[in-house]
Amino acid sequence: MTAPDSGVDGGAGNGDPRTGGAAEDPTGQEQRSLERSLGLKEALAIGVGTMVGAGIFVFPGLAAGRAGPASMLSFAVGAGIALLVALPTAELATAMPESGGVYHFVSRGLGPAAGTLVGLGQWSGLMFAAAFYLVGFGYYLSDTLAEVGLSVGEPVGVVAAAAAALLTAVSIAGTRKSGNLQKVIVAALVAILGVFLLYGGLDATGVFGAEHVPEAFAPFGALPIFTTAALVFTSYLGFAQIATVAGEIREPSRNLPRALVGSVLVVGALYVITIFVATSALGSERLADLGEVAIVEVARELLGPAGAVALLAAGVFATLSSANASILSSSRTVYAVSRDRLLPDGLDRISERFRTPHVALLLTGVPITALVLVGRVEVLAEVASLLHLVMYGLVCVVLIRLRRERPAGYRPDFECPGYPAVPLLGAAASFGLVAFMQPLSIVIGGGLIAASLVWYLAYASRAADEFPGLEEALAEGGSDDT
Amino acid sequence: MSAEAYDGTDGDKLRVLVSVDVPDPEQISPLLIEMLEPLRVCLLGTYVVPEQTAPEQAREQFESETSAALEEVAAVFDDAGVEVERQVVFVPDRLEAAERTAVEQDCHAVLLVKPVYSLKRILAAVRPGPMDTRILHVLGDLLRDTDYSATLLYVAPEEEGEEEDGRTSRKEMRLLERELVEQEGVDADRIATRVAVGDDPEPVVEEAARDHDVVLIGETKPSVQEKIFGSFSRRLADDTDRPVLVVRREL
Repeated sequence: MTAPDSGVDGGAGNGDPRTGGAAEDPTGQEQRSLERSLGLKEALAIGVGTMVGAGIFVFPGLAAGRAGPASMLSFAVGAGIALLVALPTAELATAMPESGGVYHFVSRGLGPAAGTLVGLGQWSGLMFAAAFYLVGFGYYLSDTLAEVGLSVGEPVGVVAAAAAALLTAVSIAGTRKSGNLQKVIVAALVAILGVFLLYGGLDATGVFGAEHVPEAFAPFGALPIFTTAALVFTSYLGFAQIATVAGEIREPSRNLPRALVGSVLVVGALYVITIFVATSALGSERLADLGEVAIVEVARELLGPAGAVALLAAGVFATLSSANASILSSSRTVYAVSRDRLLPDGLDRISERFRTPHVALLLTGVPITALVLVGRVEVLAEVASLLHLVMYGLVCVVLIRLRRERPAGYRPDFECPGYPAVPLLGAAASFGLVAFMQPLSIVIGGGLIAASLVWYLAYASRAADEFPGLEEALAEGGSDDT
Repeated sequence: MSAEAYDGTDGDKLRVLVSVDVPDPEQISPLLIEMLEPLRVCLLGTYVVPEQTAPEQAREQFESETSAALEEVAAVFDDAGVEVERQVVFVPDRLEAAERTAVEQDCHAVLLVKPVYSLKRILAAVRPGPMDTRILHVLGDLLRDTDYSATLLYVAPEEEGEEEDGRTSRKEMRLLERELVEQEGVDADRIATRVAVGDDPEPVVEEAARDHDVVLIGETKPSVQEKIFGSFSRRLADDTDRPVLVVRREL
């Protein structure tokens, strides 16, 4: 048809059609910025959605049994530690906002040995967390079935293991756009909990409803407040997941700190109010007897059968979505670690058919299924907490190191306030909380950490020579954000 | 804004975004590629990444494969003498990626690809307002040195059709036709105009599209309903199986 453009040609640039526009730099920021698809709301939903899972549904009975109404303080302590870690995490994430999160910060900040420890620790920590969530799911599903008269008396462990296998299969087969589903679930959960807590709160403070005889606030003394905090800290594990998708968050300097701190505050408030409502309604002793699904009986007491059904349904979805989120982020951890050659090649392969990292997902799903069958709720939760607390403590150490050494290129867009007290306290509190766990959890968690170090010495240290250094990570961060 | 804004930046050609799946791109008919010749094509290869996969991870593993696939598509454009830029993205959502790329690359229009077996008649849905000039720019480019014919269709809302036969609207359409002839340099005998009266333009445009080979429409602000169920342009393309060239709103 027409002759090739002969008029006002652009000249030089037109020889190669690839030049011009953002195509100039195929790996450059324009393209990367396209891959930033998460806003503040999505980031908050990731954090809140991961946290608001099992914790609020599974822990009230166990926590009240240990510490009485003072278990409110246990949850507050957990939130405090999470906040002390969230602020340094936010600073590091804006200084090197590449996906990989906590692992990325520690491995770049402290080197490959610490990187291996944190990478494998995060991977196994997520497995323990997912197993814990799924056992909670088992309790909730069994009780839901019993509530509607469908129970065939299957043991909780079997239900949970079946769920683990199914969830793994689904995550390998690939669900596109489940981000929307996640948002819907989180919104529904928050709505159900909101009604429950509002009603329960008004009831408990005596605005209406029966008079309650207040029980002793801390019937077992101060120590159980801390052992309970160690137990329930699992409820806060979600916040750092936000940092693992830092590379996909728009305007990270603004949205990352807000999402990190915001989700901890939202969830911490929810937990404290929940324990307040639960202990006011039924008293610690009955809660302890009711165990993992105590909160459902609280709803029954306050709102009748409809309340119980709503909480059961919410619990089913919450535990499942938490487990799902953990499995998904574990596959990202494996990617980050094996890209650094600390794990053998091939673990992070993406299936051409499903477009998902099938090997990593399988290597996560199978251990979870096994853990669910043999694990006890309290130990699963504590080991998950322990492994994460060690990582969080190291994050604070990284921040202190970077602030002291101020390497060239370290230009965080967000500065952690209260330095050096915040990261020092964060590290001390993270490591310190471990001491309040039961011996079996400390043995298992410590064993896994030791095993990571053995892995490093036996295998991963060969990657040490060419291990990406701090300068590289900071340069990546700088070019992405300026 | 007028065509002058593009002068000097892109050899003054209007840019159109064409997005294809990689590594398995859909076929684009040579007739359609030929039609795009007066424009500059931004070819966007989209690899849709599921949520459990980090986009960078997919990029690392599939970058060369997807680039090669896109290069094959681009070669067809090159052979037809169409200027084309290439870009591969790894994203969770294809439509969102196309939208954002169109903004970032300053694309004037976005093409929704459908198979075509003959390409002679172009339908342009217009509605008096600032969008018209943008639509006429594109239409003028497509018609100027070719032998396509075009129909300008305006669906006038009923309250505006003060005369039952829509005489006022017809007058406006003649102005548009004249703009196309005088400003864009298109032969008058290749342009037809049509005015329909109705409150819902969508079925009218859809009906008319079936008598044409390609549809040009202006982008509208998505309603809440459209955000949920998809845009009219997407539905139009899918329901009529005609390629739709969506002219973007001004930034």
